[in-house]
Amino acid sequence: MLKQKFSRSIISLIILVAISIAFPMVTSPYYTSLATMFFINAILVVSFRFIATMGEFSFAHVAFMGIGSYATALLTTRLGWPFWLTLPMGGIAAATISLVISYPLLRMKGFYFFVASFAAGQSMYLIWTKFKFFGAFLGISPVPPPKLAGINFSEFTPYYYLVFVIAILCMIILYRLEHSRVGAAIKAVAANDLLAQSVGINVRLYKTIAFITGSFFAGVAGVLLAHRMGYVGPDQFTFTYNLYVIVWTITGGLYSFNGPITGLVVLTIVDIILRNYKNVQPYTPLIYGAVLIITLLFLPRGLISLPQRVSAIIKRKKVRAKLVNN
Amino acid sequence: MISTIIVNGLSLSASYCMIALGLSLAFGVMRIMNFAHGELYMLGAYMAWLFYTKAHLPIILVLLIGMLVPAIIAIILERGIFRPLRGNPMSSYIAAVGVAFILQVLVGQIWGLGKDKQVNSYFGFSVDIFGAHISMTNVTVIILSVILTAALLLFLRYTRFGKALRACAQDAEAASVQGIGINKVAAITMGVAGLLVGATGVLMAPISLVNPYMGGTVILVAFNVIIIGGAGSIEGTILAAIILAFLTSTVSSLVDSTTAQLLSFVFMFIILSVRPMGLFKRA
Amino acid sequence: MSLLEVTNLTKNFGGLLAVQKLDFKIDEGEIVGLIGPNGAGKTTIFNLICGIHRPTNGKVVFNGNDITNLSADKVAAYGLCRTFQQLSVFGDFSVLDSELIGFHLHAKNSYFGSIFGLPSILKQNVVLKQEAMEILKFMELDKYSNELVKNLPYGSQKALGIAIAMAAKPRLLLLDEPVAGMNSAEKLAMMEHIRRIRARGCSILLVEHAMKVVMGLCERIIVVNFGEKIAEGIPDEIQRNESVIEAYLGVKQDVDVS
Repeated sequence: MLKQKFSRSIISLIILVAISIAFPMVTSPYYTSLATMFFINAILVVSFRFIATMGEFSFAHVAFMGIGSYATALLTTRLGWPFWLTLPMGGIAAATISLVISYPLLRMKGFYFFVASFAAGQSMYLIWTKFKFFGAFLGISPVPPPKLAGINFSEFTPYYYLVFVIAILCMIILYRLEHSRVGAAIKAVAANDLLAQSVGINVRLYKTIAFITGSFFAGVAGVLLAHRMGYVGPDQFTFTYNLYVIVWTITGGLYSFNGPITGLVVLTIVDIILRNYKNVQPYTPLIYGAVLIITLLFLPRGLISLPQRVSAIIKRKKVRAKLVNN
Repeated sequence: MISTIIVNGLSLSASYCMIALGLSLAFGVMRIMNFAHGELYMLGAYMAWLFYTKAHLPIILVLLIGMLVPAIIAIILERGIFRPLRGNPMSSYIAAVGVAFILQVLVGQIWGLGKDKQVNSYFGFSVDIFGAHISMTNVTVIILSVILTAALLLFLRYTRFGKALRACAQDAEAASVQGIGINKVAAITMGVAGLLVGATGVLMAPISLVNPYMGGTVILVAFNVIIIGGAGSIEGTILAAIILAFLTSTVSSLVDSTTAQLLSFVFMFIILSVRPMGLFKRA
Repeated sequence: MSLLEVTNLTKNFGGLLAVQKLDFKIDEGEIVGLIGPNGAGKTTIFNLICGIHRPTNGKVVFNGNDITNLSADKVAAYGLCRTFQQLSVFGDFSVLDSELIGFHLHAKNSYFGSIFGLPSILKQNVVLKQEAMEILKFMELDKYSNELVKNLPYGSQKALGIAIAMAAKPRLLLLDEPVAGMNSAEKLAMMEHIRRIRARGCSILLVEHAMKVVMGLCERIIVVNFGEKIAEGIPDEIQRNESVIEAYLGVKQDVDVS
């Protein structure tokens, strides 16, 4: 039975990868560009959830994406560094700053962590807006495309495949980490930090690992974003964007690895469909808000728990029917 | 002129105080943090536009409507969102964010986006106090906030319900032993928050940009005041409002408002790092 | 040298003197009971010893090491672990996963090793699973290994709490009310488990209200009231001790003679 489940997941994974590879060949550059954005958001959302496994929502997550974007913009335009160097550097820059603010931040919980991470993120946003070093309101442009063996990465399709490969890599790493003893220790800390301590787990250390790791990948996503747009500016890293990340995560399901991506897929599709109906499109945030509330009230484990819930209800009805008939 | 600075600072303090008081109570007593609080302020401003600018109703009526509508919505939110999610505070915060989205879009679609709404000044004149030339709007804000804050303090100290609220702040279980419904407490704190922030929205409407997104800065002010002053403490909220208002207006006039915002965030972060229970809470 | 030496242990919670000048020792191989009426400070004493609270005064020496001001995770590394009376397990985990967490101190928790899937890590997972099942079997929880912890009956959750602590391979285990909420049969089973844990080489200090369990299990009993030690000795002596009887008089619900 377990083997059945396993091979079913492998097959669905292969199908999804095949679809992703074939995608640009059968759609227009517009949709390819959207799909590129999807994979960037996928890294963002999975790394957000990785931080959430320690029990807190980071409101600085999109700001760390911004750090990655600004890092690569500054390094490529002012120092002439190549993309292949700035990609990890963006992540390292984000991880370093997250390490610095983790010292005060990780002492907080719940609402206070929420607001403090928000304050940190907004401070970064305001610094980018204010100082000419970061290009103030106008940001930094143009950001050059990556260079490799004559492939023109300023084209939509090649860049899509580049982002796709990097996204898959990031997700494999995050998946592995979550399912390792490191990931288990992080979850144990979130579930019962006193008990975790009493078997020797350093709570502070593991929360820091969760926070820095998640922020590193947010930075990587930021680098990919910068080279997709060819431009970096503060308006890309808003509070609302961070909220959307939270909505994708919760709608899909906070409690599993696949949840957030599922939420991202569903809501991205909803978003794309709505774009075609000009009179409904302005209602998009309202729909997001409604989906969020309905999920939290009625399906707290997210869309991904829907099959479970449905089969549980069916089972209950069957049992009841049996009892009635006997 | 110093007196102008002081009076304008007091006026800002008064609005900060009213914005934060109800929410501070709700958070201190019930751990309710209504992330749609800024939207209640926005609704107050829109009520002012609807019933003063468009319908030309008398100011008192407009104020009343502007206080009651947000209060009612706040109570509905308590019933529909915060009560079912009481065991899971994080979820209730996020759900409230969803409410904020919904309110912003609804208001924008019903009453149109585009140009910000204009609410004419209620009094249209200024007064001279101690040599300072300030608008009657600012005076009203100060007077009203003093009245409402005093009313709230009396309510908490002398009424049976007020005492129940303070008991709840200490220990929710002890309060239910006294036969006071937690649900009632929750509804009333949310209602109070709505009344106060709605009033502020009405009063500040003539000098604000009235649009569906005006609540964004308001909720930040509320957070900042609550964190500095300590959740649930009325005295703390008042003092924090004064500190924050004077700090913000001073920096705004000396440098610019972006720096003022930046500094207030940095200040918020520092307070959370070293004294999360607020500057004024006795240990 | 005693395994655990507590000297002059004092804890002042901002004016409230919870624990006062407590002295006691525990030697290797003992099962010692810590009893006293409700509010006597027993859980606080546990918290002070294992590092959840820092003492205001006094010293805690474990196996020759001064662990007085160390945090709980560092104390656990020295071989001193505890169970909790409430919140004794990791909610949302399966029984097996919970047990595996307990091996933290003795496993390789490598960050990069996990990412690259190093063979040592993969092999370790197999070994740890076997060890986990062995401990679960010892506590008769192996049939629940894939169950979610929250679906377990309360008594089994407490047993799991002990099983998790055992995975850390402690030399001294502090048990906080191990038989609370159990029926007579479960209590007897737990007493047997505790004896077998001691036989495996782990000394025990336990807090309990069930007098029959304490008298039947412990070779030595320490009695505290209002944070002070009021008696210490073998069960017979304690049962006849006047100050002990007085401390419990009028507080009938604390004495569970089952």
